[in-house]
Amino acid sequence: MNPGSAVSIQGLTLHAGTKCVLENADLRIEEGECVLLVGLSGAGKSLTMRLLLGLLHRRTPGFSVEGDVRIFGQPAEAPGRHEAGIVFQDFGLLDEWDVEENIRFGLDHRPEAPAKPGDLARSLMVEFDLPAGVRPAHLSGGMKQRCALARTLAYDPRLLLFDEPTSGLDPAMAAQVAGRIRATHDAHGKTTLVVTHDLTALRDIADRVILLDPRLKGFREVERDRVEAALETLRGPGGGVAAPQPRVVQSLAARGKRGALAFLDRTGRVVEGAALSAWALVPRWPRARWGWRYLLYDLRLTTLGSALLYVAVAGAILGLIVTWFTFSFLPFKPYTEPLLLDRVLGAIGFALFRIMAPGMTALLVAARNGAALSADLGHRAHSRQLEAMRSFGVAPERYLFTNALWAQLLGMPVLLAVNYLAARYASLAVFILVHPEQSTHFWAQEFDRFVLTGGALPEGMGWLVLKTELSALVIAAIAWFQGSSRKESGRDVASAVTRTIIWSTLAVLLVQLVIALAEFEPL
Amino acid sequence: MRADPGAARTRRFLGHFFRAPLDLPIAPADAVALVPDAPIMIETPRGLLQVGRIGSGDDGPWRAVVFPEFADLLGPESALAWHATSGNLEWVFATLFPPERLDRIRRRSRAGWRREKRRFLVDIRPGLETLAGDLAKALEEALPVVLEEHREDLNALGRLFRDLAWRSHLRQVFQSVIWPRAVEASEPAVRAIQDEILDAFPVWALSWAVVVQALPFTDNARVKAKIGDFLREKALPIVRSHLPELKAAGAEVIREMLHDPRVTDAFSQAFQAFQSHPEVRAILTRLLDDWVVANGAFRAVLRDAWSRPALAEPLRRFLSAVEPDIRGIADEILLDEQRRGINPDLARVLRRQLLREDRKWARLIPGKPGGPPPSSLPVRAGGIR
Repeated sequence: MNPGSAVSIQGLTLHAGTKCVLENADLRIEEGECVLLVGLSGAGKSLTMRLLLGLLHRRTPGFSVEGDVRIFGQPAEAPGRHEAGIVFQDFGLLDEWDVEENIRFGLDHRPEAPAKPGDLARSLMVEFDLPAGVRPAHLSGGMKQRCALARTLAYDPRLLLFDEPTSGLDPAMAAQVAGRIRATHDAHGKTTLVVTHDLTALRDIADRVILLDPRLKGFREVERDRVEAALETLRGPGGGVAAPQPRVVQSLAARGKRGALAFLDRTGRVVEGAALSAWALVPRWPRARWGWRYLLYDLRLTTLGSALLYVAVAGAILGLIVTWFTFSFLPFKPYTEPLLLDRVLGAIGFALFRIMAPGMTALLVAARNGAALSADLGHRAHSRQLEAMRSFGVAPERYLFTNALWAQLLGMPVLLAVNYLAARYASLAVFILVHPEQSTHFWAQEFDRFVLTGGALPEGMGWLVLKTELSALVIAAIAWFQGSSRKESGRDVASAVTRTIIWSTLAVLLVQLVIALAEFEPL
Repeated sequence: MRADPGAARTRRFLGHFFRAPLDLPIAPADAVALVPDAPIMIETPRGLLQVGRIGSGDDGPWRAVVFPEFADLLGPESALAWHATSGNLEWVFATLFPPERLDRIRRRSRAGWRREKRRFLVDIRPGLETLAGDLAKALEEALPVVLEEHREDLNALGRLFRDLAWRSHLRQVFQSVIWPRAVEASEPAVRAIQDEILDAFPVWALSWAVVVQALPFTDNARVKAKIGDFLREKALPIVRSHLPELKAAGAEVIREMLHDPRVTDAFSQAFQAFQSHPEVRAILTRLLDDWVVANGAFRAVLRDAWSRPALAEPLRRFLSAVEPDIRGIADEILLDEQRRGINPDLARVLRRQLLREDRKWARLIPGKPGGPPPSSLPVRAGGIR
């Protein structure tokens, strides 16, 4: 092995599911080279790139990887590696931060932090002609790409990867992008690997062109002026990507076996997820600054603003319904109410505090925050933000899962308190309506009768905290596992959100039920 | 101008957050043992209404916490009356039947009874007479059999009476008190009888009869016949003529003895010793059991009594006639004045007896209106309420 090689692939065999993409393949790119990796759609270009970034490795579910893949002499999947950075086809910009913050993300996650990251970020913005204070959603396509490139450069990788950088651009724009890639390559002294099928725009910036040949299931170098002919040959009869295999009709037994295995796999992932959730509670933020920022982001997403209003309105409706209907439909009301007024109030107060408000809040939060977190994560997965984070050596769960858990842990009691207070005072309003002769302080005294029993804390506070926080964790965990899984389309995101709502509402109901059974002795 | 109820409710709602209860020191009388958090209430036509609670205790001074909605009730001469409701029958009766209600119930029941009494009694009398006769007959027929079966028990009772009552208590008082007094009281009458009998005694006739009877071939029963004639024709009329005096003497002795503590104590002790003896009790129980309780005929008469048309029909007619009165009385006890809900007094009793609530409470005695609230509230014992 040449110690000066930027990329060294030896004897690589890659299976995606049952399909063999590469077989005993070799590739070498020397430091400082600008190389084009071309191939037909589905040939495995993107998989190769993911391999180089360490995003695809031996432990990736659904893939089989054998062989040696090294970047600057280090295994590609080695933890903490930062030799490779990527500009994704759809950029993978972090939507919630503006341009400067996106660049700062790359800067801050360098293994060795620069002295003045703010100055460096601003100089990159000037270099790439990027506006300040604008979020990615408001940037043009070209700006997004420049922003993504600036961010990747901020991370200072030795190997720059570009994934289909000219995809969807008109020839003029594509030429402009190609020129910028080459200029960046030259200006920053990087090794560059561009994965593309757009030869027209990019051929001239490359030192070499590598073809991913599906017939060989490997890489071969092609002269620049013969690339199109080679591709044409691959597209021709018998030369292209392996024809679609005929649909195999599986027997019932085989399908049953596959279903059982899938079920066991999912069950195993649930167990693994539960263990991972507990471990994820330990804040292992790569950078404290970003840890706090993501925590605040998640708190805003799950607790502040509309969430407060949402649970408050629901709580008010709950208190109103419970109190109004209890007094309206009290059996034999003219005879029982004078006897039991104080006890009925006590029962309403107790039920709201111990059962109804926690149950309703858990359900509301499961639906709202489960959907919010799942959609947020699903969008990140779909727009390659999670992969972008990984490309900066950041495990997304360190920021996103840990903070989602903590945001839920911190936010859920607040939401429960708001829900309960709204229910409580809606109940007071109804009481004033149906019992104008009674004092509101009598209401308070009896409403709290079975809750404030003289201890330092309300009665059953331990159970309340337990079921509330357990529900919070369950919601966050389900949202994470549903939301962060691979997404190829908006439909996948919608499905994840739907599954999150279904599973998290059912899960919190189960939590509430199980704890209620333990909390209250059967009659 | 008519107050807007919506605005009033809003004010009350907001007042809950901004109007704190009045917190007044209280000075309980010595006999009053307050308990913390006991309710302070006022009496309203709809029952008791809580207007505050007793605060503090143990470490700190007692306080009266009066809800702000009822602060207007406080004024000069306001006080608290402390009630420790025992829940005994007296309290239940006093609560359920205050004098006015009891009077209404009495009047209503009397009216019904007065209206229907004559017809009911006339209707039911034949049936009751027949029933009493049948019961008496059942007992009467069973008595000889029971006595025969329990002969030994009766003998034992006699023995026990002699041992427990007579020998231990009665004999001594009889000999030392009753008999001497009886002798003394009857002495004039006895002496008169004695004198008159001696005067009338046929000395010569009897002597002659003795002589004649001693002769051979004479009637051997002559003396006996003479004595018999004397007793029948002379002595008994003499005694009879003095019976009123003897009776009067006897009555006098009895009257005296009833007031003599030596005698009454002796009888009381004798009766006590006799009736409390386990064996006596066992015997009497056996006797009554066999005579009355195990008396099949007696029980059958009683069991079937109300199925006899002669009793059932008058009773049904009577109940039907007084039903409005009974219902009125029940309503008086069960329902409030508007007849729409539970009687507040019954509610209090049920809360006290079933729910164990409101056992100790203070009644706020409103002060004179218009004056400033008192600086402290005296607390006195409130009695049964």
